[in-house]
Amino acid sequence: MCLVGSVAAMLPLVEILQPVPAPQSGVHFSFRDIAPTSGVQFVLRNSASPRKHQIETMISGVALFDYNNDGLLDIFFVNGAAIPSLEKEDPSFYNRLYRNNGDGTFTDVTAQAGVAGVGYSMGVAVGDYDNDGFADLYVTGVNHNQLLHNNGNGTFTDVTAQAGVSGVQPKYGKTWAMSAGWFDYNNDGKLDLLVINYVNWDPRNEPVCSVNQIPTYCSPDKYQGLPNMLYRNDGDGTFTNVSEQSGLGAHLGKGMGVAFADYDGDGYPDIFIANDTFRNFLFHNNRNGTFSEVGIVVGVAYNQDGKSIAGMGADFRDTGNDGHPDVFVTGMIHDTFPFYRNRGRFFEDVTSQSGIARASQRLTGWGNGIFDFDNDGYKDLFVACGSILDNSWEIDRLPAKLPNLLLRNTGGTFQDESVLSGVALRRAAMHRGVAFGDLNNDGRIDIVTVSLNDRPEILLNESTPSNHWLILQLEGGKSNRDGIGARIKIQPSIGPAQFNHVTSSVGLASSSDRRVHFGLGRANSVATVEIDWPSGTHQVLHSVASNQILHVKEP
Amino acid sequence: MIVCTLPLLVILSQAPSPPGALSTAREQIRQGNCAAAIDTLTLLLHSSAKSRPEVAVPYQLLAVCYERSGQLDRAIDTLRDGLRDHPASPALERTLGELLFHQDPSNPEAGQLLASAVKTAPQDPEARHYYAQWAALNNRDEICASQEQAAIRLPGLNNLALLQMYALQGICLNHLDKPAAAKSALEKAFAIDLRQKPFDPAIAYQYVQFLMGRGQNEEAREVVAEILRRSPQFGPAHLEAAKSFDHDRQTEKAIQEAKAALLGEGDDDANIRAAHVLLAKNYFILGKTAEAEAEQQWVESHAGASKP
Repeated sequence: MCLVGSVAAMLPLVEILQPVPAPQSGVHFSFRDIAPTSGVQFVLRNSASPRKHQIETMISGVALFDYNNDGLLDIFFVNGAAIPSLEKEDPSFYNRLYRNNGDGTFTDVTAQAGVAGVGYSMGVAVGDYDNDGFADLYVTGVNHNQLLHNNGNGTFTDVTAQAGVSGVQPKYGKTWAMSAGWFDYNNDGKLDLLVINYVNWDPRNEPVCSVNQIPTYCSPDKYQGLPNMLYRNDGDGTFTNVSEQSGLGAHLGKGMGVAFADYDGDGYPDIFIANDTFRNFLFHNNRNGTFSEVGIVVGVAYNQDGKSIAGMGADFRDTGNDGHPDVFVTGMIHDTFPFYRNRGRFFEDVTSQSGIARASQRLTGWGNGIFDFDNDGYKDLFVACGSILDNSWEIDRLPAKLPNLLLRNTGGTFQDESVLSGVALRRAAMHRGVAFGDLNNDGRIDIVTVSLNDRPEILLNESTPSNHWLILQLEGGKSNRDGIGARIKIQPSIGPAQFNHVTSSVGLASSSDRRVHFGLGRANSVATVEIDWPSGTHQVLHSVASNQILHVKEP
Repeated sequence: MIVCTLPLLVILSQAPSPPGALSTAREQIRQGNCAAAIDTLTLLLHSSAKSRPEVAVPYQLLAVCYERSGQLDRAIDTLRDGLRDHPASPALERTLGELLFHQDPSNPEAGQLLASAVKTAPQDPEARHYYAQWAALNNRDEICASQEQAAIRLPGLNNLALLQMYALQGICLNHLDKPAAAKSALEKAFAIDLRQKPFDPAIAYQYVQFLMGRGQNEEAREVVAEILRRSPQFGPAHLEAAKSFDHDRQTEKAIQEAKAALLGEGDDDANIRAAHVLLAKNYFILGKTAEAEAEQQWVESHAGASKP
């Protein structure tokens, strides 16, 4: 018998998959999908073809934002286009804006708003770049990026060209932009724009890939990576491309998700970018207009085995209530979804110890987010899941459609409670992007997902209504009006202090409610709310009542 | 290539000895003269083409010799010829299945051939084990686990075989979300490994990876310590020790173990990169920026297949 060599040769090829643990808690999340009765008719169309064009499997954009300032979150869906024209040849390809009617239904206002879009779109970022009090849209895409200025009257105007943010690179031309994010990198009170580019994709010269003669989407290693683009807001409706002078442009990657946080507490926002089959980037803000890429030395570039994963979505928030924003990244099946615990100046990969590895090994995740879904004071994890390949069953006996993943934060570890959180979370689909926000202003974070060639899910959170909450809606004065980048610490009347910051850049190619949510558990008030505004202003509120959406102006 | 070495030994030792050319070929192979054996066997098969060889052994031997001399396509063609003459030969099915599997682990024909070989020769543990391997790499974990379970029950297995079978069974059971059964199988593999001479640290390391993936870090540390006691040069175990020290924020020890990992044996590219990444981070923590930058530069210049 001579079996040693064969198995020894084979074993390293096999990833060890882990089971999902049964939850210990008697309290479960509860979500109800109201999409079928909401009036939302949107279907994400990617023009899937037998040829398997790489762009087909990547569309991920969805945004939750209040475009008309009526206090209700509206929904913007990003859509594909015809292939090979890469144009929205008929209305089924339009991006769609749905106004929230406040009664669980939504009205399609795409035409009135003028946001149907152009080209093969990918993602969306929301931010009030001109500080006029109305949220603007930046839509990324394969052949067009669009800056849509909110006119404040329910309409938008395409100002891409005059603003100078078309995403055209001097060296590469218009590149395939996946995500974008608004942040104020120089704390000058004006939101700047970071565009995350994926790979150099040319439909005229696209590689053909197959497994056992079955066509597949190619691995990203068949394509050259691209630099990302940083646009500095000049405050007059125009932007300057500062990619090179900031140092960002020197780094080629295959960018997917982007998230911002001040990981080292120096008062300036840093940038985390998940790359696809290439090491992640963490750009430390040098506070002088430049960035240093420190992903390797601080421990977020690779997984704990020294491997690059198929990085997808990213969120960057404190899960341990220690004031240090952690990084949560999604990847493809067998990657596991890396979770990097922030220890202050550096990070520790605790994917295995936290329980995330065993919950995620059989999943491919796209958009994700770190939010406290049960308002218990500890932020939980959500991942939108779906196979990369729509023919994955044919190729490797893996389902193309997957249910989403919801992990409860038990105070250091995470437990998979997906299957116990209502039938809506068990719905299998080729999920892609996800956005988070409180759609009905009941203090519980709701979820909207998009899926390829499918309807969206609008997951209304109906978990543990007895827990208290607080939502802060910041309005900057000297700082950018959205307050993006503001760091918030609260001390509830019961329980540990909590930390969060203002951002709309969450997950993959999507944009979430910029209002900052805190679950308070049994605490019915908050002793102190401390806000460190990007301007440097430190603001303290005392004795804040729970269960309210509090509008806070920068003093 | 193990696939061919193994059947060759079996064929040489167990098959009946037909007279003439076949026994000559056997002797030539025993003497390591595959070129001569190819001539002998080719002549044998051609001369008997009209009457067809009565046994499949000449095809197997010829295929093995082709494979050994780097002519994989001819080896495969030979086995296909053999299967045309002997469609129900489990030995030919198994050998062709193994060859196709090692050529392309996702090849569905390999799986079909190995499945057929198992069906025809259910008492053949090798066929079951190879079928289990194919299944493991093609997301058929139920098949993998059940084939290994059946193989383990067959008589006559030596410890090396059991070691491999339990290890693969454990991995497949783990894929099937059966952690207790998976751990039991991997524990058995580890126990056998501890009795083996020489001890195989790579097999024990599979158990470490299972435990780490389950978050059972303390138990994993104990296995790592055992590996290093028996195989102090085994790099991946030093790397795991470095990760543990890094987790405990014992920075100097993490650096020491990461360096030991780089000096050790058995590291793949990812392990080497992981060691350099750990060094970069821990030097950074210590404020040794020059060393950290040097390690970062190493990592950036050794991206391997992962390039932007």
